[in-house]
Amino acid sequence: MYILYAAVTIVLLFSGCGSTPPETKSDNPTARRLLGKTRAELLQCAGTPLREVPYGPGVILRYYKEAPMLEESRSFLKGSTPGEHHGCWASLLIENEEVTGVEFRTVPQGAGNEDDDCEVIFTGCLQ
Amino acid sequence: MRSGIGKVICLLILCWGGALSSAYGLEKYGRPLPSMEGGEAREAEETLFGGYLLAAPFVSNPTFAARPDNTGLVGMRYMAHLEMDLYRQYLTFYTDQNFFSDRKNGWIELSEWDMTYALTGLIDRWGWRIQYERDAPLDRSGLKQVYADVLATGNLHAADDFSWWRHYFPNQNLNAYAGFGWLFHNSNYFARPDNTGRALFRYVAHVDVDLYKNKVVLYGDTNFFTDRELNNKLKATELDWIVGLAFRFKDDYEVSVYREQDRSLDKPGTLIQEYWAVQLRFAFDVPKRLFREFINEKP
Repeated sequence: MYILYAAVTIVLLFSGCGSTPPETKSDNPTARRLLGKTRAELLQCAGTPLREVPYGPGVILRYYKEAPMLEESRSFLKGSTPGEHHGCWASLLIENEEVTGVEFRTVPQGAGNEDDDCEVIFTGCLQ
Repeated sequence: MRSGIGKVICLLILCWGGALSSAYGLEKYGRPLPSMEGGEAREAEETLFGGYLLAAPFVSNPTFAARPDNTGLVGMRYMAHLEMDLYRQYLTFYTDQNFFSDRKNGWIELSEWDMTYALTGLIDRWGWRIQYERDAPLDRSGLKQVYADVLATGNLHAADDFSWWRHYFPNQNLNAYAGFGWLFHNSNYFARPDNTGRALFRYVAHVDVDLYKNKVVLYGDTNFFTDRELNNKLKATELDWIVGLAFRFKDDYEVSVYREQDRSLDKPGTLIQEYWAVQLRFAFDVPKRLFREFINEKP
């Protein structure tokens, strides 16, 4: 009976921990350090973006990183547990050949590990 | 009565604490960018299908059997796992193909094949699954264990669910789930490691403690089974637990060391199946874009 109590308690606890609507935050050191980098520096350290979207006088470079499968999917003798497949879009606004805006967006919204996947894209830019 | 009220109060406090959590998925710096929700673009980059391959020598195995009839001792485990989102995170198909060899029979020749096919999904922090599993001997005819079950789980992702988590543990995370399952079809899937009884319900709990940036992960997993042949069908008769430590590198590789023990809870002195294993796992995933490019390149 105690086991049943424990299971019910844990499940109810988890249900209370359901996600709430996303909010914008701005305390990511990786993203902050990208501001001011030149376009050439960015292409060198992060590689070619998936897309370049013209925006006013500038351009937005878009990068994407899917979370590693090992992080999303687990395996045990008593069965596997696939998790939510997720990733992170990084959009960088380039104006006058310089990064003036950065946005990290996790997809699907609210999915695990937030911006970690975006940080991985720019690991080479922080050295 | 007092004890019951106490439990209810505890639950309310815990759920309230959970409700205080907040998830975030958007970070902005410098000049604002126009809205780019991803949408179609995410579609192209997301995984079409993925999975992993693993090999695990059972480095110490005094009792873990190499066939469903509890004969032999496992030497090696090999597994292929494939998963594919059919409709976002709400509906995913996966299959596991597990193979075992018998260390008493030369380690090479395979002795058991366990196949699993399942549909699973996530709705917010709730998970569901319907699964079919068939465990059969490979090197001789004999007993097959087959079942189909449904499972519901509640999930916790600390870094997403608690706004304070990242402040105190910027490089750590804690993911967990717990749930209840029902083996609605059972052909010889037993309720104890000594192959007695027949399983009816399962209670599961799992925790991953990400010790450093998802590179070092400590994990634990428990499965309880109940016996449909007992009067009390909710009483757990078997406990299977695993504790392991995994090291991940280059995104797609993982080496882990783990210990599993399967034991009866109501028949002391009966068979306990246990082992230590070292496991190498290689993961892969194919984005839809790559698949489309491959198709388009074909003459």
